[in-house]
Amino acid sequence: MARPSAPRPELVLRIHVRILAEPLHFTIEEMVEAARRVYATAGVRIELGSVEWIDIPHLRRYVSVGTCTQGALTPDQDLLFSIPAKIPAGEVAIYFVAELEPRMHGCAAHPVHAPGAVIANTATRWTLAHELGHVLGIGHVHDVHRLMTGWGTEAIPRAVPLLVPSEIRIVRASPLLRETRSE
Amino acid sequence: MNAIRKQLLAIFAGDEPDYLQAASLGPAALPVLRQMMDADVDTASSAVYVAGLIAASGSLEILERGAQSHSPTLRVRTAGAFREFLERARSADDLDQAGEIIATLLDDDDPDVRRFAQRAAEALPAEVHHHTAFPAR
Repeated sequence: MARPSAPRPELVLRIHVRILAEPLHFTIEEMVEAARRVYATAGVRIELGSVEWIDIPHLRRYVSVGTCTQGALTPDQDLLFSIPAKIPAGEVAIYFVAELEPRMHGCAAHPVHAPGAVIANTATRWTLAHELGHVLGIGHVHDVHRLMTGWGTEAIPRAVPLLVPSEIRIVRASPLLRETRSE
Repeated sequence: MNAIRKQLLAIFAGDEPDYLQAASLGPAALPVLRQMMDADVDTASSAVYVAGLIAASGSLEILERGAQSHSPTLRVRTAGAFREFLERARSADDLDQAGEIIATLLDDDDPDVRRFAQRAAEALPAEVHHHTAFPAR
């Protein structure tokens, strides 16, 4: 009989929401809740830090993300991530914007010392969780049942998309997660 | 052609489509991308961006159609695609033709189209600025 494994400690990921435009199909609360449900399966709690509306006139309708490549940010991404924000080191900034150029639901390319992602108003229920996956170090897969599907989270047929053990290991090893402080 | 179409549509369905992977299909994808310009704005927006990344002479017909679209969203994404095209295109004729189309986008009624067109124009080589209607850099 297999020995029961030691309980894994709960880890916390803290995110901060910056809103330039509200999503069209799901509320931000619904997306955060969806992310909580997915990451709970990995023993990770998503904690919502600050929520703030910001206005950058020329990013009101479109934010250019180019090919969404880490290390090759566009001037729009540079501008977005340079907005002064009291986000503690190691916590994640999520920018909700109107549309992305080119067309995407989200993009997790971010400056090295400012982990974060940009979410378009076309996002699905699972886009936030998917982009957080990229921020935490996991990439696309060709399986529509999994969170990191490259075929679009809109097509996920499950109540909660899957994170497989190898992905959970990567997520839990992310330096962005911290252990829950015991009271 | 059907296989390419299927591949492109699968890529476009992603939350952040891997447009570089789509562009790796090369000029063989251009006829399919041209057809996709008749589809909805989302599909056409993705098609025009991939055409820009492929940056072959045949891309320009697709980019020109995007520039002439009634949809400001598609014109914005076309202007964005021009920047990718200009970073990759090498033929002087292509660059000249691109310069002419970008000049029309710089005159667009929509301020976002003009903003993205301006960014594309900044990627034009200086010699194209000399013989088109662009202000000197």
